[in-house]
Amino acid sequence: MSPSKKRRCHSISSIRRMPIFSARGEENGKIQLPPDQGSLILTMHLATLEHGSTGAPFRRIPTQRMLIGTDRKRDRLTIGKSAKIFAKFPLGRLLNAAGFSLVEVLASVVVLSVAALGITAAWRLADQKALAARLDGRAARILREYYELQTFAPDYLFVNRGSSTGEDADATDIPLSPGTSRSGYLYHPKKHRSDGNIFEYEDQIPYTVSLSADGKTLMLTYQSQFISGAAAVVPKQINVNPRSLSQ
Amino acid sequence: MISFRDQVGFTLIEMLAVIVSMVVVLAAATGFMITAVARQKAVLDASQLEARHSQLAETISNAIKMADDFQIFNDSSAANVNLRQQYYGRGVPFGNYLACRYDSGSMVGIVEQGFEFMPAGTLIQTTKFLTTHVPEVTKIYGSVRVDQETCFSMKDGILQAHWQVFTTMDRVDFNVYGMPLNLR
Repeated sequence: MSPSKKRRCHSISSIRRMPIFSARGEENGKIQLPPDQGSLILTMHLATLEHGSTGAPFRRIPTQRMLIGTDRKRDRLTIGKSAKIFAKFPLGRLLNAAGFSLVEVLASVVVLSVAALGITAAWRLADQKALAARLDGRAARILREYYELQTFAPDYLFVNRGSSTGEDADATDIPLSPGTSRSGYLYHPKKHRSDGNIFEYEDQIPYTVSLSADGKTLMLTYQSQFISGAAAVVPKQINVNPRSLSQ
Repeated sequence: MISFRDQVGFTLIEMLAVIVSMVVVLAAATGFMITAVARQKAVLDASQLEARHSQLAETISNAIKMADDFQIFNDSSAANVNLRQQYYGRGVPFGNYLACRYDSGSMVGIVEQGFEFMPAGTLIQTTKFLTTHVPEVTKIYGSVRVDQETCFSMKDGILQAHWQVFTTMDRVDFNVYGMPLNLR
């Protein structure tokens, strides 16, 4: 035995050769368990099991896990001096010490992970719904702003200063001419710059405001990123009084 | 002989493993909760701020449309010179103070609503009751920036206000257009 093993053995010297348990016998390389008395799982490294009465070697196990019964009426086994024991006690009614098996721990991890994913998904959905509601209200407000602009703008703004498609709506205060449209962005999320605490704001979720050819309907459409399919395009419209221009 | 029952218990390694596992699980759960609550608070703050400014935009729009008289000044000190006069004096086409005055009937009298953008990043709404002794009401709206030089203008012959609000999550642009209905 190497010195290192001797040192390890010394740590369990107080329990070596102790009749810590007994089993019914050996069959096919494994000790049978009394099914009604539960089991004790031992993982032994270079363990030597001996008869408690004679001390003769009973079995030598390089490294494996054994299931050992607790019937004290049968042959007693003792742990050899080179044994290193890791024990788990699945049945508290026998040993007054309950623990979790690997399967139980893994199952709990899976359950906790699924629960965490579910909670996260629900929270994300709520977050998206809140943002979608804000964007919907914002779209309605922008449409109202355009309604006011169309209503209160002087006549000369409608003549020779018609808006064009793709123009930034925020940069212009020009009303729409019939049959034209204008685009902008509903959402400007904050974005951290890498060089410090100064923020930048992105442009997301484009919208288009268009005035019908007869000048009676103002329509705003935007594409929601939270909905897929045809319902992703959200239209909003409002009726306006067509301007009867003097020219 | 020592009974095996006397030997049951946790080893130091098991205790450490359990403690570490519990710490990891609790830290992850706590971190998740803190992140979620912080995010929720940010969303709520942003929604409330946007709602308040949306209400302010509505108030400005209504004040403009109801106004019997209005004027844009560089700031509120210039406007105060003209207070209690029947009509506003000389104003400016671009300024940071908009005053709208209207008669609200015999009970309330003449009401003047002023809206001033402060360079510190606030929009201040004041409601003054010029003919009664009702104390003036002031509301302050924060997190404001003006992209142009001034907040209020008569650009293109239409009274308008533009400002930006910076919430905890995003930037929101506000635009108000209007003309007093009795001037149309």
